[in-house]
Amino acid sequence: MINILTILLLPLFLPGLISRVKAIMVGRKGQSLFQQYFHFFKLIRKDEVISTSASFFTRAAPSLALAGTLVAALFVPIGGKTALFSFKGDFILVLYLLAMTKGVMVFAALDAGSSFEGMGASREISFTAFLEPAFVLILASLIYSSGFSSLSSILGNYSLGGNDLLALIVGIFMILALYIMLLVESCRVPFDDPATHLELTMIHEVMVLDYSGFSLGLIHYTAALKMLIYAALIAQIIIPASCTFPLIAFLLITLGIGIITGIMESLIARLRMNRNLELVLVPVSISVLALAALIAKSIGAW
Amino acid sequence: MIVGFILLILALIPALLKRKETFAILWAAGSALLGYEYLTQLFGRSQSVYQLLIPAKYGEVLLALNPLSAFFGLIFAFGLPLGIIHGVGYLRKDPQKGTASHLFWLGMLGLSMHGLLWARHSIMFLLLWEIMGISSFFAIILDRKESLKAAITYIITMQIGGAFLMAGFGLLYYHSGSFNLAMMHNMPRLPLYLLMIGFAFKAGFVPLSSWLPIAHPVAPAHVSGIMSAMMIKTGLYGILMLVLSNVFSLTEIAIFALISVISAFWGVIHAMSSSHIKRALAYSSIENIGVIGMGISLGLLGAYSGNTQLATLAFAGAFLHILFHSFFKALLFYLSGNVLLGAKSLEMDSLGSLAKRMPSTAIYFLIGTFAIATLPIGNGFISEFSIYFSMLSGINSPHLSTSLISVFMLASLAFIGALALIAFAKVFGLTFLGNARSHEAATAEKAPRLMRIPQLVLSFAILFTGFFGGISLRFIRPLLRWLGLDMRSFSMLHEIYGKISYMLILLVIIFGFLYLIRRKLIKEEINPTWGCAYQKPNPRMQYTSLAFSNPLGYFLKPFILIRQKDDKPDELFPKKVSYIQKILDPINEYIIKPISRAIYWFFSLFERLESGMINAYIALGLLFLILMIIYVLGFK
Repeated sequence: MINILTILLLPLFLPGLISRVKAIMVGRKGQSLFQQYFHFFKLIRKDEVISTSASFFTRAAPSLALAGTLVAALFVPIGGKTALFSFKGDFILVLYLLAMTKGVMVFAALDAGSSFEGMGASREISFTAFLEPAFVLILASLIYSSGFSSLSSILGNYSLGGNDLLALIVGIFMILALYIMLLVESCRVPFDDPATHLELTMIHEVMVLDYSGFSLGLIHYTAALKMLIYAALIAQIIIPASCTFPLIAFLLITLGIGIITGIMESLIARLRMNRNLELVLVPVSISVLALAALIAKSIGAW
Repeated sequence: MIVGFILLILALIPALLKRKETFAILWAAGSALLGYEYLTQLFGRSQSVYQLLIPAKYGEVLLALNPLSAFFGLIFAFGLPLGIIHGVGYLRKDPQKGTASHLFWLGMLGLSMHGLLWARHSIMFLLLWEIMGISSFFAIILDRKESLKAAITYIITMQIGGAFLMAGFGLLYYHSGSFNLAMMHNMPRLPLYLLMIGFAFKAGFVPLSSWLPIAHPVAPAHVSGIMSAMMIKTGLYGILMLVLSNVFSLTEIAIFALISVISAFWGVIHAMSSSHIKRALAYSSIENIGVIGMGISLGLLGAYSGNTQLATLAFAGAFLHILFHSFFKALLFYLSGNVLLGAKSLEMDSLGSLAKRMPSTAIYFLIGTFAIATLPIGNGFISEFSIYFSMLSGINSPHLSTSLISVFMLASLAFIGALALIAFAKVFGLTFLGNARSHEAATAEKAPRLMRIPQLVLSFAILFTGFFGGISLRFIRPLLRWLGLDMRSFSMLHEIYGKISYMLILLVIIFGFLYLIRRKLIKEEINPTWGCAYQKPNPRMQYTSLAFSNPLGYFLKPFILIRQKDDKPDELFPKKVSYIQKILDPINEYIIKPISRAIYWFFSLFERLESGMINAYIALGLLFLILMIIYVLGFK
């Protein structure tokens, strides 16, 4: 129950929080924390403007993307030990559902027949090439240290604490990798600036230029939900199994991630477009390092 | 079995009389009978063994099935008639000269593929193998213009592969003294390697794969569909026959695994950078063969290290991928025929917007794209899930080698899967969405109904197996049991597929709900695409295929050979500006072409001998005789 409520209600809070933090950092008062919700409800009540070149796909894509992300979110443990659904190896389904939502949105962007949107589509989908190996490698390291099972129990079994220095280092590596993936997936600085006003420099925003109304509302929500999924994965690694109030810890960590992202966005500039992919390679190399450390330990070379 | 084969042989008569429909009906009936035989064999209800008695020392020739060949037979019995129906539709719409011979060779191709599965005698196997190569060669050259050169490349490659097989079977006979294929157990290494290489030519493993992207784009759609989805599987059939009856060392398994990963990677990056639909599909066949090879090598690894779960799931994934690849690759190749007939081109940069002109083709292609890019709902996800699952159960192995190979393959498969998504997002997006980039694409016509029937059947099969992975697992269950694999892991996989089915149904329900809300409650207003205040956008401003894959091209530069000709504007008033870019296959350019050039040079040395003067020929004959006499007497 808590899982479903969190999945439905919490996502839109994160972008609102980030922009509030950014506003405070530059000395403005900023929008209400719930502004994104107002925005969302305004959008889904509106009618749409559809491009002349749009086919059936433009009309179906946002719903399909949201459906895929929602189903993926059901497998993510939130605040407790287990997710709503779980089975052995479920994270492969999660990974491919997320890839599907991305693919579907790329199709939709190509459907508008604009040069901007093709550009965004090409950039966005190039990220997948390095994100997917990073995701499976992170899970491989977790599996290597705590056994092969479902996503929620793999994450639940892993504990940062204790006297195990190696587990701590590997855990920090993995959190870092997941955090970079979060930034890529939800298109934040330094990969993409949601506040930019020039189409040529956009990635995610340019893909949805021709969406409006109900569909745009769904797209915003999908993006926020994706961010929440990654935040929840990070939280689950940090929260120890013995935590008495896991839900509160989860909320705190999620808010912390939002605040850190906001601060980071105010402090650093975005990367040059062609350097983006190099940074996306970082999670891959971090997870390879983590895995190598674990294997080195198990064969006694540590 | 006999009735089935007789029907298929009888079908050659209407083929020669150009009775396309009768040919297709006979093929469908014959395949149904053969399919029934394969089913009963696979599920162990009957055992069919036939004996052909041939005089002289070759002895009796056994015709028999085992679960492995029955499994491949099922694929052929399902796929070949669909391909032939599609081909008949294609020939009706676009009648060409040489229909009779085309149909005849198509029939021969199918017959030899079925026959291969029954043959238990190495000479008969080789004979059918050669017939398969030759008949596919003649089937490719339907239009006899552009295709001839590519087809000749193809037949030469097949002959080289056939020569390896001939050497391998010959050595096998030398060692075992029998032509029976059952003698393949515990073979000496040399014939084993020779046979592996020979089969790998057909299957399309890198670096023996260069014929695929040359031959497939020029063949008619149904022929490339049949070849890519089914004929190259005979190579895998051969490889599976070998690997299942021999014991391999860890090094050999690792080499096989590495070749598979390289094949998959090589195929997918070229599919991604290709701008021709059929070439992208041909490269993707190399990728899928690589993925299947990864499954097989993981299975061997599991058997080697005693990890039964790893072995079972990997073989299950490989067999499922063999089955599913025959669905989605056939579908996509047949659909490329629709595109070619409708829009007169297969270059993505002159297509676009076909979803509006050919909606059913677009939907089928979308289903195929989901399958080939291993996205959920498509069946490619189901088979790769099993391969992933096997790798994940190999990670925690007590053997360091198993862990390392599993992890390496895990990351590679994720990378390859993502690249496949990029490749086919490009193919589908540029071909079917957006605005038409040429007049032909803007006025494309729908394909005739006869061509769409097999596509409908295949799309339905993809969706059905994609949703209900558990049901398709039943087809490979007897196969796994025959291999003596772990049935506990199998039922675990079955259970998980059941859960995935529920989740996919939930996905469709949520999607349908949201889509209906939008459809019912939201009004639409149609307006031009946002052009950033630019008033005259045109379709040429859309992203091109090269631009789409460019961001990753930067990383993949070492593996892709790009030749560009840049005619830059130099004067104040430039007269001509042009830019030509070609993406070439380095294996073809740096390995195959130099070798063939060297061979050509060697034989051109003997050109002078053919002078046309009789006295010169007599002199050469005399010289030869004298040399022979010296050679023979020298031994005495």
